[in-house]
Amino acid sequence: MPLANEIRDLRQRTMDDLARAHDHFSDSMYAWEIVQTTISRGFKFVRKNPATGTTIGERDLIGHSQNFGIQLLAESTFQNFISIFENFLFDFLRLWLKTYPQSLTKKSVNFQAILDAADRNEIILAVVNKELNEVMYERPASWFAYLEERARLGCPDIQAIERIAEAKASRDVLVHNRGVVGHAYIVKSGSQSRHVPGERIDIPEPYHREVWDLLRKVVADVCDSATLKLLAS
Amino acid sequence: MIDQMTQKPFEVRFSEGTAGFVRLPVAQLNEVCRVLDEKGFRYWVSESQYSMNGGPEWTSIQFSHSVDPRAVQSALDRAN
Repeated sequence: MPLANEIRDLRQRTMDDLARAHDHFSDSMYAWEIVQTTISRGFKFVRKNPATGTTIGERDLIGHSQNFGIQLLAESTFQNFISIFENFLFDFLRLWLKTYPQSLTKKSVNFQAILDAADRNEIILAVVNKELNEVMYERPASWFAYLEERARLGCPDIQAIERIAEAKASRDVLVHNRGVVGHAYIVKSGSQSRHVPGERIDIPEPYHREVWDLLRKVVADVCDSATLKLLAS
Repeated sequence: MIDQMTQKPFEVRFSEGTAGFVRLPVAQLNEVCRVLDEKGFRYWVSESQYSMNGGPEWTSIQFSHSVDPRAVQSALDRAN
């Protein structure tokens, strides 16, 4: 399949994934609102979780709604947004490098990998994957510098890159530091920092939405710029 | 301050480790936000608004983890 078509499919798949993630957030918020309203109108119950043995009633569920309904749901879907975007960016780079592997000519290949490969494409893919695994461990600014170095798309702009870096840093705080901001967040988030060390990180709904909008815009900009470039060449 | 939908005082909900939030009728959003602004609380209004069976719309306000929910409750209790 031509690269332009593969990029179009990747763009659509990523947009669909982001939409599904946000729909899950929105629908779940609504479901929790219905639960709260139903209970406030007198609905009573007792339920036991057969796995944990935990028994809860309607008042407990009201308490859970504030945990799961607002905070945990926002945090988990926010993490999902970032994961979807990371997958997009590295899938894009993988497609690009597979099509233009000349930029990797100085990379060495283990002879065993050549013996194991079914064909030339499999060797190229192995080199590309090894290269991207190394890039993946860099910071977002390096990801985008790498993208620009390889594809010369002229996007995203520096402000978008800084905002994505902050969002990724917020995600890292949630995943690796139980939500408590540390020095690493301050360094990673730079001028876009929203907190000081020691604070519990906030993922308020407007921020959650802004990051979602930003990621969609960057996906669209990168794919559209690449497609235009491919069509012009 | 009384919630016009429930006819009860506003309740700032929170539990250990979570930020506070309050549900409120959309019709009272401005007056509640005025109280919160006067006290300098850091908060965000949800962009979602809900209604059931054609009743009045409600929404929610989420507070930063840095805001003590008890202080918000106290401010709303004292407001007219």
